[in-house]
Order: sequence, then C-alpha cells, then structure tokens
Amino acid sequence: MPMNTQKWQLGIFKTRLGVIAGLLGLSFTVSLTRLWQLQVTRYEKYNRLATRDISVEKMVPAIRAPIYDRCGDLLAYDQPFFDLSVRVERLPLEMVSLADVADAWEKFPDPGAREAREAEFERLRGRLCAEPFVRDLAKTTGRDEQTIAGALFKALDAVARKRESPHTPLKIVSGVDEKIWLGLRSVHEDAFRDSYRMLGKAANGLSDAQEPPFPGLVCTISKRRVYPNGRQACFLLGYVGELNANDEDAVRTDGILLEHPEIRRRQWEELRSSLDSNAAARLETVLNADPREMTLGQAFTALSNLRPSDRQQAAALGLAEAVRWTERPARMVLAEPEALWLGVGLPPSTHKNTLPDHWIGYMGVERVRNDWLRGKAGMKLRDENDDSNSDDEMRYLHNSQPREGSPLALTISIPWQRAVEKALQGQEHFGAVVVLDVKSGDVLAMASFPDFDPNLFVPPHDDPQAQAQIADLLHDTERRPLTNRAISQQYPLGSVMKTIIAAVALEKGLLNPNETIECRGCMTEGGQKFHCDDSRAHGTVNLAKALRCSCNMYFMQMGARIGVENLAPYAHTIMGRRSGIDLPMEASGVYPDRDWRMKNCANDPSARLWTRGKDYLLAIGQGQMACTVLQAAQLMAAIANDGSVVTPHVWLDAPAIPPRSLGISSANLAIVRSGLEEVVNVGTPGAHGTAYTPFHELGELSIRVAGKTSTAEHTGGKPHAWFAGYAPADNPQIAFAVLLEEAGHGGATAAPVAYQFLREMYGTKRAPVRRVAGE
Amino acid sequence: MSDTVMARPSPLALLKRADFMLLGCVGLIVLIGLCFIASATRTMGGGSVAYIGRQAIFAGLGVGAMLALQRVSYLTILRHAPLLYLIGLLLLCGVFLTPAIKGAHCWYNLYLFNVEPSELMKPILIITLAYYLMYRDSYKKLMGLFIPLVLAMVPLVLIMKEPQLGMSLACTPIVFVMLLAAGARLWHLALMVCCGGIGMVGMWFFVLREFQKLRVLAWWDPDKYRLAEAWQLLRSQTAIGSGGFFGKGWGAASQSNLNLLPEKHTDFIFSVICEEGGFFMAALLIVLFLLMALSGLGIAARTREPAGRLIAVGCVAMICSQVFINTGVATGLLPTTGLTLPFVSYGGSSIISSFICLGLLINIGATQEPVLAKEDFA
Repeated sequence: MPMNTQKWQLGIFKTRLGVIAGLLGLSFTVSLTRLWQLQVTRYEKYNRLATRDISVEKMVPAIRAPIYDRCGDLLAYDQPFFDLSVRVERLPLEMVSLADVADAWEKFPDPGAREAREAEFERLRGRLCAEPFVRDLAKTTGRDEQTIAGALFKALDAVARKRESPHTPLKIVSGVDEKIWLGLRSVHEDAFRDSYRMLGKAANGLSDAQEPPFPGLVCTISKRRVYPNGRQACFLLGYVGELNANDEDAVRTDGILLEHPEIRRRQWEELRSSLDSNAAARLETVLNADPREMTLGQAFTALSNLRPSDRQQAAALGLAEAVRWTERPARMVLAEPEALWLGVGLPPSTHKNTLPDHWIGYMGVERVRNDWLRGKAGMKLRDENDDSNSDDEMRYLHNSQPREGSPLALTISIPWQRAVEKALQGQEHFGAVVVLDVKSGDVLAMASFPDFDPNLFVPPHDDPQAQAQIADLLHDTERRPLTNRAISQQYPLGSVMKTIIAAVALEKGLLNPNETIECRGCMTEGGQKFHCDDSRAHGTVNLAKALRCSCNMYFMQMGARIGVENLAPYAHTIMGRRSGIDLPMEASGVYPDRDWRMKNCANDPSARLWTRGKDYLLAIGQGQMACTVLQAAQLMAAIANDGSVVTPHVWLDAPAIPPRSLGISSANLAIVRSGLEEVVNVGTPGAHGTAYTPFHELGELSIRVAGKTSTAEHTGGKPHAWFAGYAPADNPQIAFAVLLEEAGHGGATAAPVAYQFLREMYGTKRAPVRRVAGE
Repeated sequence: MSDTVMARPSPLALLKRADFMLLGCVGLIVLIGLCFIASATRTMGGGSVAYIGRQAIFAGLGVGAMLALQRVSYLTILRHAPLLYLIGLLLLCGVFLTPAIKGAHCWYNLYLFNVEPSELMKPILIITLAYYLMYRDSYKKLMGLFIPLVLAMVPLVLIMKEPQLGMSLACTPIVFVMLLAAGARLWHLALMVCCGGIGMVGMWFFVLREFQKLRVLAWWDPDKYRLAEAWQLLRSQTAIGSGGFFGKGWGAASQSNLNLLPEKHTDFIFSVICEEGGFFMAALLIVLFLLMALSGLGIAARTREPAGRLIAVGCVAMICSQVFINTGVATGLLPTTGLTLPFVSYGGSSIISSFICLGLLINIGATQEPVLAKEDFA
C-alpha cells in the first residue's frame, strides 16, 4: 500500500474521529437536556404525581372455592346471598332525613341520656315505617316493614355518626330471592354487575330494568361459607373468619396492614407536639384535658365520644387526622397480593376503604391451602389526584374482576369420617382417632373430641348468641375444643411402643421369637419398682404371648438389650419428628435420645441422665417419650406395609412423597404382625389377647383385625387408653389409632371405639357390609 | 498482517500500561450500578443481597474475561474473525431451537444462568467489520459498501427476530460509526441514513409486531395508554421527574419501592438512579460515560494500526449507543424497548459483553507495536 494513501487515510481518520466525538457530545447533551427538563423544570409536576393518593374505590370479594371429600361430596362451599343495600345520599326519604338522626345525637349526646335518645330513635323508626320507600320495598320483597325500617335506620345512624360514607352501599335486606333481586337492579348500578359477575354469571344477557324502581337501592351480593355437615371433620377443614389484624402471622402472609397502630402512635406524637398552646387551651375545653398530655388511647376515647359539632371544632384546631381515626378501625387490612404488586401498601395513611367480606382460613386445610382456595378479589383503584373526573372505566388505575379460587379435594371419605366420629362421640372421654390408608398415606378419617361447629365462626357475627358461643369455644381452657387432639397434642404411647421394640430387637438379632422369659409380675431397678398390669405374673413368656398379654417385664428386658441410642435410628423414622401432614399446628412428639435430652433438659440433671430404669420405661412407652395419635397410626401403617413409612396427607392431589423405610426386614415385621393379630384374635382362657373381648363379645367382624392396646400412665388422673392397629389383618388396607384421654384400660375402652367404627365400615360376619377402604 | 506478536507480558502488567481514565470511569460506573441495584431490589423477593451478590459475581466474571483477553494480542483475535462470526451466527440461529423464556427466544438456559447470544454477537460484529474494513478501500465505492452492510444485516435481522428489536437497532450506530471512521464517502453515508429512515417507515408496516407498534403509539400519546403500554414509561418519567436536582436519597425511591416500576433493576435502573440520586447523580453517570468514550476515542487516535482503530471506535460506539438509547427510553425521548445500561443494569450477559469491549479497548491501547511502518511524523 503506498505511503501517501496511508497518510491520507490517517488524516481523514483524525477528522472523522473528531466528527464522532462531536456526535457523541451531541447525543449526550440531548440526554442531559432532557434530564434537566424532567428533573428541574418539571420537578413540581412529577413530584405531585409521585406522592399521590391511591384509594381503593371498590373491592368485589372472590368466591372461595369449595372443598370436597375424595368422592366429590361437598364439605364446604360459599353460598351467595342476594342482598339489597342503600346508598344513603341517594335515598328518596320524605319523612326522615339524615339530619334528624344527627340531631338526635346532638340533643342527647351523653351516655346518661341514652333512654331519651332511644325513645327519639324509636319515634324515627316509626316514621320510617310509613315511608313509601320502605312500604313498597317491604311489599316487593315480602319482608316485614319493621325489620326493613330497623335496618335502614341502622344505616342512617352509621352515616350520621360518620362511621360510614354516604356513598357506600349499606346492606339493609339480606337473602332476597334471586328473581326479585334481578327485578330490582338498575342498569346504572355497577355494583350489581360486579357482584353478579362474581358468581360467574353473565350480566350482559339480562334485559335491563330501565328505571330504577327504588332510587338509592343497590343490588349487592354477599357470601357465607357453609359447612353442610356441621361438626363433621371440623379439625381437618378448619373455618374461615375475618382477617384478624392482631394475627401478625396471617397478616404477613395474606395481607398488608394499611394503618398500623404503631404508625398512628407516631403520628399522634407528632400531632400533639405540633399543637401550639393557644389551640391546646381551646381543645382542653372541648376534650376536658390537655391534648398534649394525652396518650393515643386517651385521645381516641375522648375524640370518639364527642358531639359532631365538637368533633368539627377539634378537627379545625389541628386534630383533623386524629378525628378521622375515630371514624374507622385502627387496623385495616388489605388482603390481596395484587395490591402489593400495585404498591397500594404505601403510604399507609392515605387509604380510604377496607375490604368487605374478605375471609381467610383458620385451622385445617382452610388455613394451609388458603391461597389456593380464596381466589382473587376484583379491585378498582383510583388516583385521588386525578382531576380529570371522567366517568369511564379509564379513570381507574387498576380495574380487575374477581376470580374464583380452585376447588380442593380431600383424602377423607365421608363414610369413614362419619363412622369414626359416631364411635368417638359416644364416649364420655376426650380423645382422637386417625384412620390412614396404609399404602398411600391418605387420611381417610381424622376426628377429635370435643369438637366444634365451624359454621359458628363464619362471619358476619350479627347474632350475639353466636358471639357468646365463639367466646366460650376460644376461652374454654378445660375442654380445649379447638385443639386437634389427633395431631396437636402428644401423649405417652404406652404399650403400642412394644411393637417397635419387638421389631428392632428381632432386626438386631437380640431376640429369638421362641426365646422365653420368666415374668414374675414385678421387678426393682435402681430403687424403682416396675410391674406388669396389676402386678400379675405372666409366667413363661415368648414374643407372641408377650405382645398378646402386653407383658411389661418381657419388653423391659428387650428395651434394655437394645438401648435408647440403638433404637433411635428406627424410632426417629416416626417419633420425635413431624409426620409432615399438610395440616397446621402439628406436634412432633418426643424421642428422648441423647441429642434431645442435651437440648431440652440441659439444666435438669435427673432428666438429662439416662439410666437402665429409663430404658425400661421407654420400652413400654412411658417416661419422657411422647407421641401424637397420627404418629401411632403412621407406625401401624408402617408395620402393616412391610416397613415403608408413608407421609400422611389430606390433600388428595398432593404430589406423592416417596415413603421412608422403617429399616426392618419384612420377615421380622411378619413376626410382629402375627403377634398383633393374636392380640385381637386369640381367646385362650387365662392368656387371651388384651383386645379379644371387645372384638368378640358383640359379634365377630367380617374381617380380621390386628392391633395393640395400650394403657399409658401419666402424672395425674387415670391412664390414657390407646388402641392402634390395622385391618384387614391378612391384607392390610387401613391403619388406625384411637386414643381416649384418662379413660383407663386400653383394651376395655379404646378398643371398643375401634370395634365400633370398623363394624360400621366392614360389618360383622353375620351382617357384612360390602365396602372397601377409601370408598 | 504482522505475525511478529511477541510473547505478551502478563495481563496485569499490560493493565499497568492501560488507560487509567478509562478504567477509573468504568470502575466508578460499576460501583454506582451496584449501589443502585441494591436499592432497587430491596423490596423484591429474595432481598437485595442475592441480587448484589450475583451482580458482583457477573462483574467479576466480566473483569476475568477482560483480563483473559489481554493474554493474546487483538491482532490474533482479529485473524480468527471469520470463525468467530460463524460461531456467533450459529449461536444466534440455535437460540430459536430452545424453548422460549418470557415468550422470547433470547436466552440459552444454562441452568445456573441464562446466556444471551445477541450480547456476545456485538463484540464479534465489531471485530468482523474491522477485519473486513481494515485495508480495503472498496467501501469507497457505493457497491463496495454492500458487503459490510450484509455482514452486519444478517446478525441484526436474526436478533430482531428473537425478538429484540431494541438491541438490533442499538447496533446500527456501530456499523454507521465504523464506516464513518473507516473513511467511507460522506454522501454514501448520507444516503445510508436516508435509506435507514425509509427502512424504519417500512418496518412499521412489515416488521413490527402488534405489541411493538403499541409501544410506539404509547410513546407518542402516553395518556391514552396510561394503564397498559405506557404504564412503565409514565412511572419511569414520574420517578425521574420527582427526583429533582439532588434526588430523594438512597433507598427512598417511592416509585421503585412500591414496585410500581417494572424491570427497575435491569432495563430501568437509570430511573431509579435519577429518582434517588437526582439530576446530580444522573449527570455524573452520563459524564463518566462521556469521559470513558473520549478516552476510548483517544486510544483509537493513538493507534496506528487500522483494524485496532476501527475496533476501538466500534466498541465506543456500541457502549455509547446503548447508553443513549437506554436513557432515552427511561426519560421518554424514545419508545420503550428493552435494552440494558452497560456496566450498570443487573444481568450477566450484558455486563460481561461490556467488559469484553473494554478488554478489546485496553488491548488495543496497550499494544504499541508499530505494524506497518515507523512512526509517521507527517
């Protein structure tokens, strides 16, 4: 390449570089100019836009999805109610006005003048009855005029006392017939359309009523959760209630607190410190105390008891914000993740409306699968600073329709659940029963007694009687009817523990099934006396007889041979850990191995140290160990199922969790199983199985059952009675555990409960019932 | 081409000879980016620590790639330009065979992270153009311009089909600037600009998809589309405008904290910087980019070797066009399109590709071998 070309190129390159640098400078100058325009010239405009008020104009609650049992029978659903509400500002009242109600408050403000005020209200209610609006509405809906007038008065009163806004539809008639309700709607009400759409019905296809027959009347829909079977499976289902703002946990997962009391407290501190002495002195005459020395609580009480005129004065004197607080609850909660996305959680003081009819689940699957069931509320958000004032849908920042949740199918089977509850509720003792499918871990039935009716908790709680009942349930510390004794409570397992001791002793080669031990009925170890039931000597005992007669001496020997730490790997597959069932508040139980004792008994040497005597106690399920009823059923399922420990679950479509292994060979488990079968089915006089009598005195079942009784002693009161087993013995389908608190002997009290529900499901030999497990 | 590439000193020793203005600017820009990613991701799932950690790792990988590039002279890389170009095209084609992520075929899912081949294509395109343009003067004829344009169009069309229209358009200035620097005739360039303009109009009818058209419409009339297509744009403008001169302070961006601003840590990180740091911080960032660009051009001016000059100019053009388009989108100057802010936005492919360009610049700056002739004192 000739040199001059290169020179030429270099020269032109330098020039071109200059051009490029110029282009660069130009484009960056453009960027900077634009930034200056936005950030400096138009700062005011954008700053106003950024600090705007978003208000929730309306929320239409979603339908909570139904819950079914495994066969598709309804366990819970949302029932819609067709309601009529009024917008007070548009009511065509002729004889009573809002001002009349406000006047009554003005005239008789003191609590002492209550009777006079009530008399005045009574007079107003009477006049309301004569209103054409009320009379016509009563005729159309077929309701009593008095009732409608009463409800209408309540609405007027709420608005007059500024508890509600005059634009908000307030319910006056509930549960109108759908046809009448449709006839009353007006084209102009979009509350009607949104509500009707909530039911998944097309509102467009209906011919519209052109003239609203009752101006001010709004057709709304409310819903109520219904549990058609009442108490049945109440612990599994749980119940729904209003999102309790004090329930921090629920708020964290389900909602955002719009106005936290802490924020109010801070604002109150600012408010009162900003008051000048002049305003404070004038406020003192109104509030009867110096507001600068009032706490938030005192100010709140004082302000809420003020007459309307005084409230206005207090507001004018600088307490406007605090006065506004008295008009709405302190903790409002918005419970939609969608709202989170839109960022309506902040700033907290600017939100106007709270969410009606938004329920969340408490206990059971209603709680665990709340997100699944609840659906999404429809929401309209408006920009408060938007002064365009247009009436079209565009004025909403956000406008979404409600969406129904997804239906949930449970593993429980209503026939099983009914049989189990019938057997359990016939008892005078508290207790719990769990029935599992041995192969899949499906919970076929789970019952606990005492129980409750979930329908009671469903809002709205207008009925004072229902409110009292709820309070009773919540505060009954003696019966604790809201505790699910099947999973939330742990008990000493008693002799059911012997099954796993036998299995592990066989597995470890520490025991020959034919080996015999001489039982003398009692023995002493370390100054502590141990004995068999009633100190009766069982004589020469082999494994089968030891299980059959529940010989403590035999298993104490075995327990000592194995030792607590050697048993731990086997026991830990079930005990001392949560089973992982998809229900809340599961207790884990206790397996007192070294780790547990070090962690939990660090300051108690006598509990921390392990002795031979404790080995004895562990072998018969006493001492520090504890277990839930569900774990006992899980243990039986594992024994019946050749050692695979299934994870119990109540959601039918839950992804299957592969079973763990109990770690015991099927040959050894077969030996234990034959022992368990003898417990129920061997009636040799003098050495019959502990559960022989209840299963044979009232007619033999059509299937053979295997199981183990247990009488678990505990400090204070009679021992707990257990019966855990599986059926049919030759081809196990279901495993179960029955516990009765302080009922005495397991064979005498708990086994009959199992017999009852098994007879209900399988029938006796003479009258068999053709049913299969999991029907 | 000279094969007298000596045994190269270690990368660190080379960095010593590097342009400190360039490195200092980039270091500051990356730091600012990390700070504001931390702020923007505070209210997001996982918290900012996870995002910051990942971004720091990406930046570390980028620096690693930059250092690794110093192992060989850029001239060695240049010799392999055809091969690189081919690999780049294959990667771009292959991405269409992968399952779509977020409805687009832009990423290879490598399980640990996603790789964006279009980001890698950008430095490759620069090297390829330089390879073609360095000694030839055919581009001085109108027909001669045809080959470099085709070389550029093939990957750009592929990127456009992914669809990453923004990325593809952001690459056109690279081609233009490199041709300009190579010495193409001015009236040819003017003709190209005209054809480009006509092409844009043609794209509206034949290429743009419905959602892309809506974005343009929303940019033109934001109020009409303020709840949907223009939502992001308006939120971004509100965020920037409400920042004022000195900003609201770190972590105080209301629009971003409310999660009102989508993609706030990636494509719209500039809005967060503007809201929290104000005009002051935004201008600082832009000035840093400008200084970086000028020192990049300085490297180009010092280099006597034609390919090195072209690559340096191409790298500067690539980074600057992205900066201009990204800030333009955030401020509402340009229609919304997804494009990252180099060295600042959260995202691995983007920052690594930016560091590769930086590595090329440093490599060129540090290579002081006279290639064709002795120093020209003319």
